Amino acid sequence: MGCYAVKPFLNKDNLNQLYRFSMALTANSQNAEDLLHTGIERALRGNFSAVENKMAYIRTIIRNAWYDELRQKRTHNEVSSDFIDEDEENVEPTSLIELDPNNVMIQQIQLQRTWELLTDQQRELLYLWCILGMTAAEIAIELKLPRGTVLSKIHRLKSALYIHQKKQAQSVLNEVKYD
Amino acid sequence: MTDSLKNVAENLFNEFELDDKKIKALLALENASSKKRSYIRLLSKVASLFAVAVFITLFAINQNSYYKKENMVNLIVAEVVNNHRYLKPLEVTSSQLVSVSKYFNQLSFSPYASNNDSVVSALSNTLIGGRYCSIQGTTAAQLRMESSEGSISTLFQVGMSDSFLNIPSFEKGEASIVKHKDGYEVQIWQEKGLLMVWVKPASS
Repeated sequence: MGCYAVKPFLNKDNLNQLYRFSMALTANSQNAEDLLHTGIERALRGNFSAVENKMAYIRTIIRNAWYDELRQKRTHNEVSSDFIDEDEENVEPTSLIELDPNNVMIQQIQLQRTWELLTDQQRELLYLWCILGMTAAEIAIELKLPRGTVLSKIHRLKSALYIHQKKQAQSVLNEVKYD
Repeated sequence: MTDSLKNVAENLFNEFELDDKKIKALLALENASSKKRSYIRLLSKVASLFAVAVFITLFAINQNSYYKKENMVNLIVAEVVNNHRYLKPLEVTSSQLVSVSKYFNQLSFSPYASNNDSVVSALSNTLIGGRYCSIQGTTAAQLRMESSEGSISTLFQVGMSDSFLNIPSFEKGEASIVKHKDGYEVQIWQEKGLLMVWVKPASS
């Protein structure tokens, strides 16, 4: 039976990558582990060995499983109003410089504080854009969205981060004032 | 301290790591799936091979049956053409089928006029008599006909047996087998439980 064995695809590195992706969606380690487990299980149920881009395939399954779960729980929109993805229209075009996450400056603590306040879509975008280094066009293909929508989402993600930064700065200032 | 969003995000995401126990559990999922798939693939290969083997066997049986039939038909053709050609003396002479049929009291059947129009016509107009003979070892009736032009034909009739299977049936509207040998045309069919073989000069 050995001649029929399929070379395993999963390893520690790509499992961790997928776990980070699941974390981006769920922002919760327990949920991320469960989601990853579901994703892997469902991917292996199909003709996984014939899939060309296995990571993208598993990410799609994980994404679908997550949104299915959200739909069931009906908690999809239970997020801070500052961070809700608004209508993507009427957003000023993002320059090429702004599209490079290397050119967007931020404090580590700022992202950590904002992390759970971002929507799952924003965290996913952050993962695809900053961790996988995908371009707007590649993200558009992965998420099956128009490129313009992706550009808007990137813009809103940065805005969400800056809003939080401003609020933080304001609250520090207020604290200093009242002290 | 301010850094690029890319670096900051990388630092944040790198904090998320699965523990070894969880990784082992996930890798086990793939191993189990791989084994199951290998097993299914093997089973499907075995099933395919089995299907091919069954197909080949059925094909071989069919071919064998075809060759058996062909062989049997060729043997009958050779035998009846020989019988016809020797024109052995008639044992009963009459132009009436009823009279000729009465003679064949050793047979399990009475020679039959057939519903084949050309045979009916030939028997009614040109029958001259008959004699016993055998086809493939089975006793048969041989009805001889001679036209006004002197053309002689012979209708052989014998009860159907297992060795005559797959002969076209007149009742089912199947076309009779037509063979040519040594200047004779031989038509073979089955009708009313009898094997009918009609030999006549090929030109007629």
